[in-house]
Amino acid sequence: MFTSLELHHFINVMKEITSEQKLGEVLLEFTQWLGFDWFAMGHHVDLARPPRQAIRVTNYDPRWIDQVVEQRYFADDPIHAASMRTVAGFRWDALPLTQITPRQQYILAQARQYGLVAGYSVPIFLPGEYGGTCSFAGRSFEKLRPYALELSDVVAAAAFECARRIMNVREGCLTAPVPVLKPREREALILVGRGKTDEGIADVMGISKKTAHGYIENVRLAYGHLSRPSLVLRAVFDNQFSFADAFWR
Amino acid sequence: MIRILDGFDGAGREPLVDAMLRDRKRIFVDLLKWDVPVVRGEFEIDQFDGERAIYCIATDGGGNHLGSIRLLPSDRPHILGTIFPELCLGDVPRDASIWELSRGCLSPNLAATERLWVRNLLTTAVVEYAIWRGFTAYTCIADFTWYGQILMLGWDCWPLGPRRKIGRSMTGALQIDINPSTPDQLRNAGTFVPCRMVNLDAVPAGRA
Repeated sequence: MFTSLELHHFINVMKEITSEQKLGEVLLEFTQWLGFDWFAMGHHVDLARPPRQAIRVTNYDPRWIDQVVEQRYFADDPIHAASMRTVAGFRWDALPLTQITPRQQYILAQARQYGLVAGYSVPIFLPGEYGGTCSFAGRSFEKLRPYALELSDVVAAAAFECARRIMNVREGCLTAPVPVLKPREREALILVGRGKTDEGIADVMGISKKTAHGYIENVRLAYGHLSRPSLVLRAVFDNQFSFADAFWR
Repeated sequence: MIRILDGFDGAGREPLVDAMLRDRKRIFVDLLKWDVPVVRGEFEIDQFDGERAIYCIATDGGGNHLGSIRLLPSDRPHILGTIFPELCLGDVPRDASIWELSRGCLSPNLAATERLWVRNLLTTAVVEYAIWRGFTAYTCIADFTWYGQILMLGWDCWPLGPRRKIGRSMTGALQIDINPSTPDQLRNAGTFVPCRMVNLDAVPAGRA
C-alpha cells in the first residue's frame, strides 16, 4: 500500500518538530526505513556563507561536507543544477541535464566515495522563497521498500514545510526572504542577463533610458546593492527567472 | 467571519460571491494559467459550481472576499473522481460523508501575514463545518504550493497516491480524516482560528 501507519508516523512527528536537530533525526529514521543510508535537505544557498534564513540538515559524512565547502563543489553541483531544471523528483543515474560537465562527473565520482552512489532528489520550489532539494542516497536502489521514491517525494514536501516553520519561528518573521520584483523590473533584469545596456533595455521595453536605469536600480536596492552580474546570478538562484529566460531567446 | 453558501446560482446575484469568482479568476486563470472556463471575462466558474456545491467564504466587515474554498460531495461528480482519478493509487473515495475541497483561494490583495491567518481561518471553518454536518473526511488535490502546507496543518492528512506532474506542478491527492479531536489537532499545530460562521442562503432565482 502506498500509505501506511509508518508514513503517518513520520508526518505526525514532523508536525510537532521545532528544531533542525529533531528534523534531522526523523529524516534519518525515514531514510533508513526506506532502505537508503544518507539524506540531505536544505535550501539552495551558498554553503560557505549561508544566510540565517536557510535550513540545512543532513547526515552526509562531515568529511564530504568539508570537501564540498572547501572545493566549492556546490557552485557546480550537478544535483543542484538538475533540481533547478525540473519540478519532479529524479534519480542521480538519470539527471535531467542536457549535458554533464567533466567537473560535474568528478563531483559525482567524489561523492560515491562517501557512499552516495544511488540517489534520489526531490526539488522543492515555493514562489517567492528559497527553493531547495531533499535528497536520499545509498549504495544501490535494489533493497528499497516498494514506492520508496514516491514516498520520498511526499516526505520531502512535508519536511520542507517543517523547515519553513522552524525558520519562521526562529526569525520571527513570516515574510518571504526573496525580494519581490515588479513584473517590469523582472523583465529589465532578464534583459541585463542577456547582455543589454540601459539603452538596449529601453529599446526592447519601449521605455526611456532613465526608466530602464530606474528599474535596475530598484532591483539592486532590493538585493542590497549587488553588481549587475551578481544580480542576475542571484535572481536565477532565487527562482525569479531561469537560465533559459536569460540566455535563450 | 465565514459565510457558508449552500448551492451556487450563478454570477451577478450576490456581491460577495462575485468577488470570490473574480479572485478565483485572478488566481487560477491569470496567475496559475489553469485551463478552466471564464464567464464574461471576469468570473471563474466551472462545471462543478452548481446546486450541490457548498462554499466557505472568509469575509471582512466590508463584505470583501478574503479567501474561500468549495466543498463538493464525493458520491457525485467531483474533480478527483471525474477529472483526476489517476491521482489515487486505489479507488477514489466516494461516500456521502466524504467531501472534496477545491478552489481553495486566498485573495491576491492580502499581505503575507494575512494570507497565513486566512488560510488557518478557512481550515478551521471547514473542520468545524464537517463536524457539524457529520462528515468523516475531506479529499483534495494539492499543487506544489499547497501540498506541504496541507499535510502539515495539524489534521490527520495522508496521500491517496503518488504525486504526478500536472502542467508545471507536482500535484497529489490527499485525504483528511475528520473526527472530534481534529480541532484540537489544529490547536496543537497553531492553525486553529475560531470564527463566526453565518449561513448565506443561495439567492433565490428572480431576485434583482
